[in-house]
Amino acid sequence: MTSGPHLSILVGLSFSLSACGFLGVNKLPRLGNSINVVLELPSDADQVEQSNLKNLLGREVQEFKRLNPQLQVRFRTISSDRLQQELRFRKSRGLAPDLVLLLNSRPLLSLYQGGLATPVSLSQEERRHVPSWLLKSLEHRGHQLGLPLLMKPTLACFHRSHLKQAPRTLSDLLGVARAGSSIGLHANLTSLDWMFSGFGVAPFPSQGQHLKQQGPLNPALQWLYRANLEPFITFVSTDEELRRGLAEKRFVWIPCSSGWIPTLRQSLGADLGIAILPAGPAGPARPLVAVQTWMFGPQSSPTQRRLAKQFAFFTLNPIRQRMMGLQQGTGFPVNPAVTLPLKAYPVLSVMATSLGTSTSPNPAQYQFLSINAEKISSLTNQLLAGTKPPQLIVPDLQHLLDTMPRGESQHE
Amino acid sequence: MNEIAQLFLELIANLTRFEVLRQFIALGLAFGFWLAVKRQLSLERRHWIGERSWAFLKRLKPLANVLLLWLCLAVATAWLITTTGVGDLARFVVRFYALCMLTRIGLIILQLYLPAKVVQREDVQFIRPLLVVIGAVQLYAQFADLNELFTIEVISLGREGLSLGSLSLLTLGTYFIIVGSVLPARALAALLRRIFTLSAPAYRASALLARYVLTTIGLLVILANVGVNYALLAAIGGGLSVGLGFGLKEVFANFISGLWLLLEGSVRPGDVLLIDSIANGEDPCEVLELGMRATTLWRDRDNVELVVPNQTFFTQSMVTYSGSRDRHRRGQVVIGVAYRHSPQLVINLLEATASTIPRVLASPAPKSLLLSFDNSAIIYGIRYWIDDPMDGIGIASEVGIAIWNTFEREGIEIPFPQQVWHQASTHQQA
Repeated sequence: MTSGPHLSILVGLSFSLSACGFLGVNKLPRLGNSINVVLELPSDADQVEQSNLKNLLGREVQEFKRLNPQLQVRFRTISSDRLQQELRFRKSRGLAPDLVLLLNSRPLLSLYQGGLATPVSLSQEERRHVPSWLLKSLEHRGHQLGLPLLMKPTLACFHRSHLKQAPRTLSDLLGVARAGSSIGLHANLTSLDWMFSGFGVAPFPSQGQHLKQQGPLNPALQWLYRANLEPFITFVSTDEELRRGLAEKRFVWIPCSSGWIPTLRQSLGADLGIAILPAGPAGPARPLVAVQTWMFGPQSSPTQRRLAKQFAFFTLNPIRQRMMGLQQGTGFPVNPAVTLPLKAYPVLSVMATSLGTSTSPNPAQYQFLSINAEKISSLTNQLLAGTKPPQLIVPDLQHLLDTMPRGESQHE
Repeated sequence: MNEIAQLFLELIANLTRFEVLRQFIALGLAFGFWLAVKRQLSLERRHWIGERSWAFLKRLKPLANVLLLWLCLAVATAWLITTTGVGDLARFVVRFYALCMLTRIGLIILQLYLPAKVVQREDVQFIRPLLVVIGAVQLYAQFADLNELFTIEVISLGREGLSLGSLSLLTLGTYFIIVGSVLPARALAALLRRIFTLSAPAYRASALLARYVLTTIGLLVILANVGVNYALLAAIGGGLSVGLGFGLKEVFANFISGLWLLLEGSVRPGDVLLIDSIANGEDPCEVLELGMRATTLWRDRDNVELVVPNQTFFTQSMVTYSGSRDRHRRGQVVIGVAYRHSPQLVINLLEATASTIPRVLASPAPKSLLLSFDNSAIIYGIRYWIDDPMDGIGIASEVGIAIWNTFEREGIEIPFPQQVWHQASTHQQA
């Protein structure tokens, strides 16, 4: 009666041994020559976007293994809504991945503070592969928390059949709505950063920048208030609603991420128009850029850490960066040495223009936003529901922006 | 299959990671410590406090070393987690071991209420295989994504394929439902017995019926979970119909016969039947189990188990001693007595003698009859009633011995066969 537990262990061991024999011992990975890579997938992404992301990493892994046949790189995917939980689960078992490709640097700091990420040290030579402003945007208190891979700027997506050309200014956008074209916007002040920047507000201020000196919060909120009064402007809560709205032709114009382009292209074909976001009275929109980021795991051995870094830098070399930029068409290379044929690729050209004015929040700013998400959401609701006029919301918003951590540097 | 091999390689690669190895080394050290300590302590042989007062403690004694091992593993894991913060893999091993240990304790408790044979069968056929499957699946889940493994397509059926998860559910799920429904069915039948005061055979029959019902429900749930293709099921049903018409006819007939017999209640586990009767009909068998295809009978005279197809009971007449009235059976011993003794005296002696046998029922009282006038003797029969039909032969022997003793004491002769020969005359010979 007492042999049961021991029997289970014996069965498990014999199963493993027989499987080793079946597979052939030479196929078994050598100690330390294998790294685990995790790819974060957006939880609300459709099949096209998911397979695009998987193909991107799959190609890189395949190419890396072709050049380094003695190394094993295994990758699997985790949905963004389960990322923290899944990484914590694996770490508690000693199985934290060596490398994680994040959709953007948003969760970077909380992952680092939760012990799920480890900083990477870079030599001067290695720093040459990435613009310093981008590296700085992934720094926290002198620690390099990640390495950028691709930049995915926020753009404007529209129906060519309805709009000959995209609205160039925020006033034009209201004009388009008044003319009867339906516009979709985020019901979230954080995602409307591009609109605020058009009025001279810096949603993610850098060191030395003082919002009060600029003081254009009120006009920005007034514009939002007026937009809310337009019957053809709809505010939605999720990216998915915006994307589906344009694909199903309920919206004619939406702000979109470059990562959505393949999905929208599949639904709309040649009818899909891509442009930069409309400028405001104070200048061009300075939209947020999502930076796909390599993050390093906390439980790797020195060999695994070296291999993970080797693989990450393999994806940063100019050839791979160029291939990714051209094949995917959804992200822009971060390596400044890469030159792209922008004339032949109009979407990349629009992305390049947008990136010229884009901003990238640093990890602390992202964390600040996620801590204050409820407060920001409440302010948005008050404004859009009309329970509080814009001028009464200004002080609260001003306070939030004043307390936001300053960025080390901005992309100028 | 290549995908499965890849996943397995990944599992091996993960096993060789430093943090993982450290956990297994800690468990290995704990195991080594246990090996050393258990010999010193000899817990299984040592006297336990309260052992004499509580018999249950004695039953738990064989588990003492298992419990000690669990304790060693748990302490090592707690130390590992406290010092390194990483040890959930070791914690999984400890928890799984605790689960195995709890099943052992559960089986010991079950033995208090169920026959040891039943518990042992449950252990071997259900508990141990289930633990192995749970352990393997959960161990894999510690290292890799179980969903990914279960969604691998292993069989392609036209447009729709069968995933590894569905295949596992179909095979393992079916097995575990069939073998695992025994105890719940027994529990259900026990509840019914308590509510409706069922007899023992009715209880056993309801346990079997409950098992069929639970198995059917379980199989339907599995098919619904797998997402059965109804067109495919119809095709299989069509093929099965042809199969039933030819090769499977007998199997199906036996299965339906078994169900019918159960519902009708004419043959139930615990019943006593006369089957394949020898000349005097004294060959009773007890029904042990009414299976899907055949019924198992126990014959006490030579302690053999007869496996009889269910259809036999359906198509042939049979004698049962456990119908709706009672299980009483009449026995008879036939004996010849010399012509010189008074029949009334013999009849009185026979009835008095039979009444002295303990297993002969007092009511109805034994009855003796003069059966016939034979060549050498008058033939008498002593008829009596017994409680258990399975005891017929044994009691007949006891009655016979008692009659012989009585006749010996009273001077009653049991004659040898006699024949009168007449010699023919010489004249007649000429």
